[in-house]
Amino acid sequence: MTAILKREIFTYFTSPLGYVYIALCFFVASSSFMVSVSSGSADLTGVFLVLVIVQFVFTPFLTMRLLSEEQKQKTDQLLLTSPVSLTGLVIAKFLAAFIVFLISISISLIYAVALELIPNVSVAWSTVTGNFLGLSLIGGLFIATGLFVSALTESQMIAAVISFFVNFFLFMISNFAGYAPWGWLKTFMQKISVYERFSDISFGIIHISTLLYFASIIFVFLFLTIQRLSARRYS
Amino acid sequence: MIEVERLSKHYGAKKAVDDISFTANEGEILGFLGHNGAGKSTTMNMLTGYISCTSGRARINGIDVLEDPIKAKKNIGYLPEQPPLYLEMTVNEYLKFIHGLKHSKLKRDKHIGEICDLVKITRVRDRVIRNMSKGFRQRVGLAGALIGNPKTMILDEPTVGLDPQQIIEIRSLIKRLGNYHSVIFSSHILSEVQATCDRVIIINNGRIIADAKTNELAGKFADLSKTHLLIDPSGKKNYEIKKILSKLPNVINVASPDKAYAQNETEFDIKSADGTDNRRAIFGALSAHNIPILQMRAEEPTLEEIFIKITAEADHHGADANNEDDEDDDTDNVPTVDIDPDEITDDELTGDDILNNKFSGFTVKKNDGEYEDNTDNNNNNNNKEDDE
Repeated sequence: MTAILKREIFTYFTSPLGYVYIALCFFVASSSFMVSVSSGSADLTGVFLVLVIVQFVFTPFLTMRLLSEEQKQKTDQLLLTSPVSLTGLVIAKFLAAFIVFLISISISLIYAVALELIPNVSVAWSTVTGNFLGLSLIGGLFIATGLFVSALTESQMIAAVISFFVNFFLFMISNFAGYAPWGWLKTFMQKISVYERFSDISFGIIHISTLLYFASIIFVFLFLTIQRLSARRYS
Repeated sequence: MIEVERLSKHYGAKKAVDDISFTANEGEILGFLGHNGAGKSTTMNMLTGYISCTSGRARINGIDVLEDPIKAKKNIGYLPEQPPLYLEMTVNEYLKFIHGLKHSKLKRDKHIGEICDLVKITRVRDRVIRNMSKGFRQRVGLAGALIGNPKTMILDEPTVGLDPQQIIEIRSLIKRLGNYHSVIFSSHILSEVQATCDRVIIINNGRIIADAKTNELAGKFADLSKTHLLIDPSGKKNYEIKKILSKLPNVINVASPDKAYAQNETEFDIKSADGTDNRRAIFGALSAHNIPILQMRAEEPTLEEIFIKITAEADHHGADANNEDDEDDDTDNVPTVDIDPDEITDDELTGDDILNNKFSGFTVKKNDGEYEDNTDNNNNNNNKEDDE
């Protein structure tokens, strides 16, 4: 598992992908930071919000090749015939993408520290922590869905496009809740929406239910990915 | 040690592998021989746990591949048909990755160094795999399979796409591996398997149709009635020599290939009646005319001929003997079956005639890429090389 994790991270940084992804995140966060600071605000909520919104476009690029490329290059034959469990394989892939993701959002913390260093400026650390945690959980969720989609196809492009739609759907589903014909479906759509959860966290409020929500969705998609890989052996 | 019991893999109605059983002992090199699509790769993929089996079981060193896959996989070094290489890595990085992947306890750098020396990739260790030739990629794949010193090596067509020099190297490497590992390796080239393996399993249509020691197989299917001859004509014309040879008892046909050969060297293919060995008589006749024999050997059977013989035998025993999937079959491989000289007509039979079933005796039906052989060949006559 460690070998796969190391190799995945290595791959992000031997191709332009990792650098481009991190540079884009830095760029987006920095421009948002610049705008809010120049308007005299020490509030980083705007920076986090922008980072959340760009993640459902950006994370598919991080996850698209994780499993599809293995299948295409037939390197899955190496992984699946090595003494590694499917669970270990999937978790290693997930963690690799998640680590690159954490690097890319770490810039928000640097800005928070930079603001704190300015005399007479105080940073609302509870908001920063809440936002950072929320952003990490959302990133983890998007990576889990992207990883699953990547196990479904040999094509990186298709994986990226489908992941984008899955992310978009999970994020925005509460907006369509009003159209639900039944009350229970309406509630379900509201509860499953990522956006609703995130708005809580962004105020610095972390419910156990929110943590459970993210953990269980990530778990479900990782589980589905393992099942998908395992089912392929039986096809 | 590999034990396979009644292993099957069905894809819907198609039986890719159908109820095969065999054992490969420690220190044995086992050749898997069969056409493309015969079920070789499917079997290997099941042995290595890459795909599941429909029924049956496989054990590697006594460990069931399905029951304890991780432990079983520790004992296997697998080189699939297409080497599973990460093209963006250098050879060194790739081998280090596999070392970690296999949780090998051997000292990493020393072990990798030894393997690189063994497969002769030491001088390209720092090169990116993407930029390497097919032959080197194959060797890097083999090096990957060797990491961790697994007791069992499974190699799927390791010599495909290599140049002759590389093929010889890989073959001798496999032979050396056979001293310490049990090796299964697949091929569709009969001579390759003969040159490398202790034992051969022939697979056709997902079934084992022959399992024999290599030397026994060659003896069993060598056809002494077909003799290949290289002589120095010593000024004699081709037709004169043919006349001499044709007069020998049991000789059915004498053919000399049209192609120009080196000066003072002419080739002849002599077909005698089935079951007769005419080599001594040929020597006697030629030496009586002072014609030096430069080379004489019994014709080696082709894989195709062995297939047809085995399936014909199976036919005899009432078993199903359908032969499908012979896409790359060509007419040269249709065996020459003996013919009574009196019955030779002026019409020359072509391979197409045989395929199109125009010829009454030996029958090969072609139907949607499917070859069915209704051979009852001892009674049938066919001569496709009559060039007189």
